[in-house]
Formats: sequence, C-alpha cells, structure tokens
Amino acid sequence: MHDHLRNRLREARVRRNLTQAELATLADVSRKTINTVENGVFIPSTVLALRLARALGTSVEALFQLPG
Amino acid sequence: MNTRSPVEIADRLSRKRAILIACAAVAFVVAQLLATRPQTGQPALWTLTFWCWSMVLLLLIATGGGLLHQTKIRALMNDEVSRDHHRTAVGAGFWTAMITALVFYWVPGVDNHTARAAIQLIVTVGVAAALLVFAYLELRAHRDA
Repeated sequence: MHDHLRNRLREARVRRNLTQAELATLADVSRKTINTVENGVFIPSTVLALRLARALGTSVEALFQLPG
Repeated sequence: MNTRSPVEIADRLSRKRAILIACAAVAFVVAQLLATRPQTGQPALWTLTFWCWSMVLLLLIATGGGLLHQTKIRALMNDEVSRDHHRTAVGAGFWTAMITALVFYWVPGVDNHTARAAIQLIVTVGVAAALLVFAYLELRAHRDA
C-alpha cells in the first residue's frame, strides 16, 4: 500500500459484488488498472478517481483518504 | 463467435504484449552479441538489420504497439497505468543509455572502436532497458489481476 494514499477500492467493489473485470468495464479502464490501484501500487489521477467513484456510486473521499 | 468483453480482450492482449516485448528485448541483445566478432566486427548486413530492428523497437516504445487493434481495445491497453509504465520505461532507457555512454567513454581501448560501434552499444542498451522495464511493470500489474 502506498504511504501517501489509503484506498478502500477493494472493499467498495466487494461490497457491490463486482469482480475487477466488471468494475473495469463500468469505469472504462483495464483490469490491471483496478488491480494496481487496489494494491496501492498506482496512485490514480483525479479523473480516474472520479470515474471509479462514479462507477461504484460513491464519492472519491469514500474511496481514497490521506493517512493520519 | 467472440463473446469476450473489450476489457477481457485488452487484458489478454496487454499481457501478451508484455511477454512479446520482453522476448523482443532479449532477442535484440542476444542477436547483437552473436553478430559481433572480436576480430572482424559485425557483417555489413548486420548493421542494416540492427538499424531496422532498432527502428521497429523504438516505434514499439513510442506507440505502445497494438496499432492494428480497435480504438477501444487500444485505449484500454494504453490506459493510465500503461502510460505511467511507459513514462517510467522511457526514463529508464534514457538513463541506462547515458550511463552506458559515460562508462564506455572511460573503457580502456575505447579508441579502437568506431563511432558506429559505440552508438550501436548505447542504442542497444537503452532500447533493451526501456523495453524490459515496461514489460516488467506491465507483468507486475497483471499479477493477481
């Protein structure tokens, strides 16, 4: 997990019973993007964060938080 | 009939692309080593082959490949994560080439090499580094996906 950003993408996705591929389709990104964001390997851009939030019907702040 | 979604198709092609890129980089370096003879240098035909092969690999680095695929599939293959990997890989290629050039500058007996041989070495190392870094980052991103 990246030190500068915590994310709850996996929890939000699982709560909605979506696979990574299904979320990728909804957000119009690749499955590896979902995977790397969930694993904290990749910090998404603002646009990608907004698309993920929209696809999951939640807010960006609910998915991504600054630590502390 | 293909019932796979664009995401699944892009996922499969992207993984295949990373493996092919890694193989192309290794083949490029190995071919250079095999073509070089300590006494006679490289055959004239090889220098043309090297030039063409380098251009193809540079085109691959520049475009990300997949030019024959649908726009939608290509966009998914070269999405935000891949573009980030691409930037990192190009940076790695640049720095590897620069370091190779600076090290080569001080290698004993460097004056015996032609400028063409030096350029060939720097291009080979730089291109191979960029391709290998891109392939590694892509395959790592696919892991557990």
